[in-house]
Amino acid sequence: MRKRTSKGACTTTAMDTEDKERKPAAGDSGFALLDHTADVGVKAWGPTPGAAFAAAARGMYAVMFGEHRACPAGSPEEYRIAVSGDTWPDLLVNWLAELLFLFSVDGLVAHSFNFVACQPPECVAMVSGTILGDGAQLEGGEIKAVTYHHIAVDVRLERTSVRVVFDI
Amino acid sequence: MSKNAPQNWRTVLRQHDDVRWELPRDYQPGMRVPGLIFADEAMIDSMAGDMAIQQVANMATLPGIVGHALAMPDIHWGYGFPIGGVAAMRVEDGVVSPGGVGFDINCGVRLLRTNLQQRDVKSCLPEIVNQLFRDVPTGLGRGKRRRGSTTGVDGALAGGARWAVENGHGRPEDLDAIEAGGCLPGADPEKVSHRARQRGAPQLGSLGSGNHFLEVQAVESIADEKAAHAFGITEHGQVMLSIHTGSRGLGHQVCQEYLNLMQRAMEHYRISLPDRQLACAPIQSPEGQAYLGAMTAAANFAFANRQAITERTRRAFQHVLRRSGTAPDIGVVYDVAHNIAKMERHHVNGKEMELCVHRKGATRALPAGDPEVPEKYRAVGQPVLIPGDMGRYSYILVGQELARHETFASTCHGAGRALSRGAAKRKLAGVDLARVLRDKGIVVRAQSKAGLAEEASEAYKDVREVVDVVERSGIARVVARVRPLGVIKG
Repeated sequence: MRKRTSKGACTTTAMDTEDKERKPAAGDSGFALLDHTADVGVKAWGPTPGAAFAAAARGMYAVMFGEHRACPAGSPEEYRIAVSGDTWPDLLVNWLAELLFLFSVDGLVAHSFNFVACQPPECVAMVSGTILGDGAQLEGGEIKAVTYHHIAVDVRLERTSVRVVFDI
Repeated sequence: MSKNAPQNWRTVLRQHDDVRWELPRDYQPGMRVPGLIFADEAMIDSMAGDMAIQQVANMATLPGIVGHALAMPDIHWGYGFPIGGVAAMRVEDGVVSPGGVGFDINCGVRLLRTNLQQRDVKSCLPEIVNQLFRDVPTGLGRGKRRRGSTTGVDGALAGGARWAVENGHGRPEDLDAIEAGGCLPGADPEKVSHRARQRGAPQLGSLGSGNHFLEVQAVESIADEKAAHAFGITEHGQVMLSIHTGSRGLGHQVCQEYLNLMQRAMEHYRISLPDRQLACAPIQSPEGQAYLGAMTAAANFAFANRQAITERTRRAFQHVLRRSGTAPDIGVVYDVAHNIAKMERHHVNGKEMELCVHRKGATRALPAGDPEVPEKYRAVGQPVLIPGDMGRYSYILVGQELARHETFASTCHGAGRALSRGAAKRKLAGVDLARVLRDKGIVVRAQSKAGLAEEASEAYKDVREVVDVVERSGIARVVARVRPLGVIKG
């Protein structure tokens, strides 16, 4: 259920490195990395579920590339991503797992997210990103998988927050 | 529901001796068997408030589990099962759980021996490490991503290391020193999705990152001359090599997909468990059989991966040493999984039965005489490979008879983390770890400084303490200890 089309030049800026320090407020979105003995977690928030899911994705890339790393260089691409999930945690895991899959097979690092739908049972988004060239380095390391451990999705009227742990 | 972990596990556990602690069945409703934890008193005290022992209790609720839900002394928190957890289920009415294997299917260790002495590599060690770093992809790897191209994957899934050797990655005799000859029976490549193959295809022959490594080592001490001799470990200073990696993205994708499948299967089979990451299906069900076929195929991919890395390692050594006129000969001591589920026959309450043994962060440890031990080692037992950390040492053990009776022939798999990745980076911020290691005579190459900090000695417990508990318990015995000379990390 994925469609890929080439697009123009990469216009992304650095990942929001201030998110970790900033106190979340209504209408705001961002992410913070969470310490975990063997692995790494991300908490993310935004005014809508889509915004929080996008922030969680940025957090996932920050785990791989380092929190202070700008958008890696590479060729720009746009993808349509569609995943399903009966519950919010299922939807979050499947959303991030799909991005992880696209990173593994295509080298996609998404930086712009436009959600068509984000509510169980489906999440559909157009994402723009960079395709990494061979030899790109991961400052933070590979993520093996997205887990259900301590997963949380809290959807409220003007604010959604999520928490997810990655297997490193 | 899963309980919160008590602040003092001693109030819950029954101490059998100085290294055995029983978690009684009445600790948590639904436990079908008691737990048995191998640890010393300090280890138990260090687990105050830790969820790892709680996960042993959760593991004990799985349908069909027999004997004890087991935890090795390197136990720490994992997804569903604890790392260091072992559980055996009856094949006729038990379940198989992807959480009992982990995301990195057949993550394992391969030990290589060489005909070289430390003095042979001393002057060219940096060159060897650099050559290994060039020839063995780490991190993302350097293979070009080829969506849709899964060349080689089918062969590796079905044939494992055997396929790799047949395709020029090694020698036929390598296969004699690999668990199951490097090719587990029961693999069903058709149960591995195209997406998993796509993730795996460009990664065959690569290390990955995290705690995976390739180490050049020297024998530091020999505790069991007879077993060491059988394993080809002949003298102090002998150069050895260790490879620690698994099935890469292919295995991760298999686990992720089957966890989803198992969660739906649990509803269908009306299985209720305290943690959704224990998601499972009856072994005999279509879902259980599909997972076992896919997981076994992924395990074979991992054997092929370590085989391909072995051959790249040989060529790197030949390339560097040919100028000095030294002819390196590198052979396989052993290769064993520590994340796997296998069909095995064991005695339970005096009755032999076929079991599905889950080992998640635990190493098979067969004693002398077992027909599955390679013939050349059968008089002494199976080599058990226990990596430590990049700044200290690793161990080579041998399986003992007691393991067959108490742990379904299983033992520990490593040191376990002492600091989180974030804490390690904070603690070692500003420290030039490569230089610290160089001052200790260890040459290291890594993709990133942050990754190096996460894997520093300070981030790990002392593997000697883990091995000490294993040896005192009688389930495995120390053969030799090796220390690192050169390390490459993702």
